Amino acid sequence: MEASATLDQAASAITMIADPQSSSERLIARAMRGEVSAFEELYQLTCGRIYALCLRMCGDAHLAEELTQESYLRAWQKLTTFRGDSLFATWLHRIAVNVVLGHHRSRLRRDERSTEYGELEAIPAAGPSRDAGAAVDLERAIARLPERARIVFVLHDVEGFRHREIASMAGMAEGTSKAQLSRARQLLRKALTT
Amino acid sequence: MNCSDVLTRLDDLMDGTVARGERAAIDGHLEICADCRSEVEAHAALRRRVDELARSVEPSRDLWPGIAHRIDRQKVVQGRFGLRVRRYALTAAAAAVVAAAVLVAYTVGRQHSEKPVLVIREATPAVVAASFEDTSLGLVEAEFQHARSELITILEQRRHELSPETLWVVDSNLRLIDDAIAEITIALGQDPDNTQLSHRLAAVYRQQIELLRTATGLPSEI
Repeated sequence: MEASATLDQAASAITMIADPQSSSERLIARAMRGEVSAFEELYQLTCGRIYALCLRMCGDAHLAEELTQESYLRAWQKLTTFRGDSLFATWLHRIAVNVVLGHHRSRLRRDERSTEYGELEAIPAAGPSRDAGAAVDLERAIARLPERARIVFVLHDVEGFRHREIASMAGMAEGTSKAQLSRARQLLRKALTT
Repeated sequence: MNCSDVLTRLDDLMDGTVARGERAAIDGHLEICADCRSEVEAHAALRRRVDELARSVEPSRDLWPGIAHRIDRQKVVQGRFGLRVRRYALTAAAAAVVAAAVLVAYTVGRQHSEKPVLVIREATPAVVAASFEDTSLGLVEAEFQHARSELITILEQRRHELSPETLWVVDSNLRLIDDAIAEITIALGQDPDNTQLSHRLAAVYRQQIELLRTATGLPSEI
């Protein structure tokens, strides 16, 4: 029994390596039929990227874990609406972006306080950049950006969304998205070179 | 083309959205201006560092058990709605959607000084008890799902008309009520003859319907 299961897993892994696209499609089809185990496999394949997206957008590891879980729960709930006209990863990314933006909007309203202005000088210097430490410095500097600037920067420069898409998703004008990106880049340059 | 022109187009330059003719003018300026070249190089260096960031980051703990748990709770709810719930006797199915108001969420004003206000009022036991007599919980559930689906559709269509404060209150309470439904359903699964739990479940259904009705009936705030 155990040997059989191991063989099945090995066969599944080999199939995945040989033809990742069709394997993903099979997993999606199974998940859409309600197979949680298939959805778990999809989670295992994609969680690192979704967590990275949430982490960079929100700047907090604990919150990013919660938002990642929420994203997958939403994906599970909406799975039957996935039409396959985009990549599953793209579809999932959209859901995660919307989850983080929804949280961002709620939090902004709750907190009352705005962190959007007066913070141009607020990012502490990330320190000297050397090899592996450089990426860590950049991650830290991104995490310390003002919230809207960070969200736009991550969506545009890290995730590759266009200003038009960001504006639509985040409920802001396209010009605002461009301004926030410019601001984020300036702040990052300053933080990384100080 | 001068330094100011170039610096204002720096982001477009990085993003490759500068028209060809303008690009040539910028390049011409960069050939003779070391300061602007330095600015462009600094932006490009940042871009390279961003491109080198890891695409995937592993969370510090396994997040799947939490996701699986929440999926399981939903499945229990769905299963209960579909099968086991039907044996409970309730009053008219419509009772689940026309009960007295039990939960109202609203925001007062949109000034920064005022936070969203949440008012929750319990259903009276008499109203709850009156709804559990001779109609199956399955029928009530069907009516509930139907009404909920319609109201959710209306709410989605009206989201842009409501303030974020109101939406936050509504969404937060919808989640709370969903959690309550899931918890009660799990408890009923373990103790299916518990009429108090059945009553409680119907009451929570009504709470959700009333919340949705209130939210969809709010005047436009935008």
